[in-house]
Amino acid sequence: MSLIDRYLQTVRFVLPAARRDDIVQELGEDIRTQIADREAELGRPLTTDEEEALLQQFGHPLVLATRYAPQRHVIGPALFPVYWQTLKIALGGSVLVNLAIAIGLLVGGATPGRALGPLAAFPFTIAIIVFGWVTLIFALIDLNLPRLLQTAGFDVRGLPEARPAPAGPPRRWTILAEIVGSTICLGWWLAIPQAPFLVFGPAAAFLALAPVWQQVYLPMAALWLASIVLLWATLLRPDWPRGTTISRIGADVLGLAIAGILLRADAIVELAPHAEATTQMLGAVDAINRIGKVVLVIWMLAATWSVFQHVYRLVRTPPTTPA
Amino acid sequence: MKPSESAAVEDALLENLRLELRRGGLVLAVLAQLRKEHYGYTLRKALAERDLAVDEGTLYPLLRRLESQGLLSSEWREEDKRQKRFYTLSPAGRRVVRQLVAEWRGLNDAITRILEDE
Repeated sequence: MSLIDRYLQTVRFVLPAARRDDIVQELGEDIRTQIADREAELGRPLTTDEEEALLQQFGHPLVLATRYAPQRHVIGPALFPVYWQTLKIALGGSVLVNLAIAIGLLVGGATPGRALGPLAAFPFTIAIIVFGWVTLIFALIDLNLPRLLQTAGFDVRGLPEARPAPAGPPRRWTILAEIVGSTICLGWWLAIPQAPFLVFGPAAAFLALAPVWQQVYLPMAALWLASIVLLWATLLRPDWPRGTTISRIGADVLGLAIAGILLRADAIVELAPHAEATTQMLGAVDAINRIGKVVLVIWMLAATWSVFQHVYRLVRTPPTTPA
Repeated sequence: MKPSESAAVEDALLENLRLELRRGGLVLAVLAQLRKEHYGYTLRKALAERDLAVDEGTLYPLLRRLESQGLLSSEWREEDKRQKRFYTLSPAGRRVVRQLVAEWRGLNDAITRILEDE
C-alpha cells in the first residue's frame, strides 16, 4: 500500500459516511496531480521522502478529517455557564448528603469502613448519576434553546427594572438553572419508589425511608411540579412579578406543612427490612434521624423567613395588570 | 509567570488572533477567486501566486462547507486524464461575494483610517 493510500485510509476512517467516498476521491486526485506536477518539474519520480513531505502539507489525517465534520457540541457556550453552575451545586449537594449520612453512621457507632464506604464509592456511583442526568437535561435544553427563546419572545419593556450593581449571574440564567435543578429533583423523587438506591446510595443496603414519607410523597411531587411551573411562569412572564410572588408564598407554605409532618413523625429514616438490627446500626439510624430533624428545623426557619420576605414585597409593590 | 512562559502565552494569543483575523478574509478570497472555475489544487496555486498561501487541510474542508452553504457549485470532470472536482460560484455565491466585497472595502477603509490616527 502506497503512502498516499495509507494517508487517505486514515482520513477516510473519521469522515462523515455520506460524503466519505467523494471527499477521499477528491483528495486522492489532487494529491496525485500535485505529485505528477512535481515529477514533471524534476523530470523523475518522487522519492518516498519527497512523497511523505508532500503529504505532510495536508496535516495530520485525523485533523484534516475532523475539519470536514460539522461543528458539534453537547452544551453550547450560551448555556455552559449555567450548566457548570448547576453541576457544581448538584454535585456539592450530593457530597453534603453523603457526608451527613457518613457522619450520622459514625456518630451512631458504625465501623469506619461501613460509614465511609459509601462516601468512598461516591465518585463511581452517585457522582456519575448526577453528572449524567444534569448533562443529559442540559443537552436537551441546548438542543431546543433557540426554539424555547423564540417562543418566549422578547419584549424590552417587559424586562425587570434595572437594579443597581447586580451581583452574580443574570436572573434569567439563574431561573433556567433552577428549572433544571427542580426538574432533576422531580425526576429523582418520582424514581425513588422503584429505586431506593437513589436516596441513600450504597447505604440503601441498611437504610430505608420511614412510613411518614408515604404521607408526604404525593404532596412533595406536587410541590416540585408547582415549583417548575412557577419558575417557567417567572421566566416567561417577568412582567408579572406579583403573580409569581404569590405562587412562591404558596409553595413555601406547602413546603412548611410537609416539613411539619416530617418533624412530628417518630422517624424520618429507619433500618432497611433486610438489614441486621445490631445496636450499632440502630444507633446510626437514630443519629441520622436527629440530624435530619435539625436540618428540617433549619430549613423551616429559612422558609419562614422567605415567606415573610415575599409577603413584605407583595405588600410594598403596587399591583400591576399583566401585559 | 516566568518571562519565557509569558512570551509563550503571548505567542499563542497572537497566533489565535492572527487565525481569527485571517479566517474571514480567507473565505472572501476563496469565493472571489472562484468567480473563475478551479479545482482544489489550481485554486490553491492561484491564491499562492497572489501571496495568499493556504494549506490543503484548510482549503478542502472550506470548499465543502461553502458548497453545503449553497455558495459554490461543483462537478466531477476529466482533465488531463484525471477526474477532478471543479468548483465555481453559484448564483447565490455571486450575490454574496458582491456584498462581501463591499463590506470588506468598507472595513478596510475604516481600519486604515483608524491606523492612520495613531
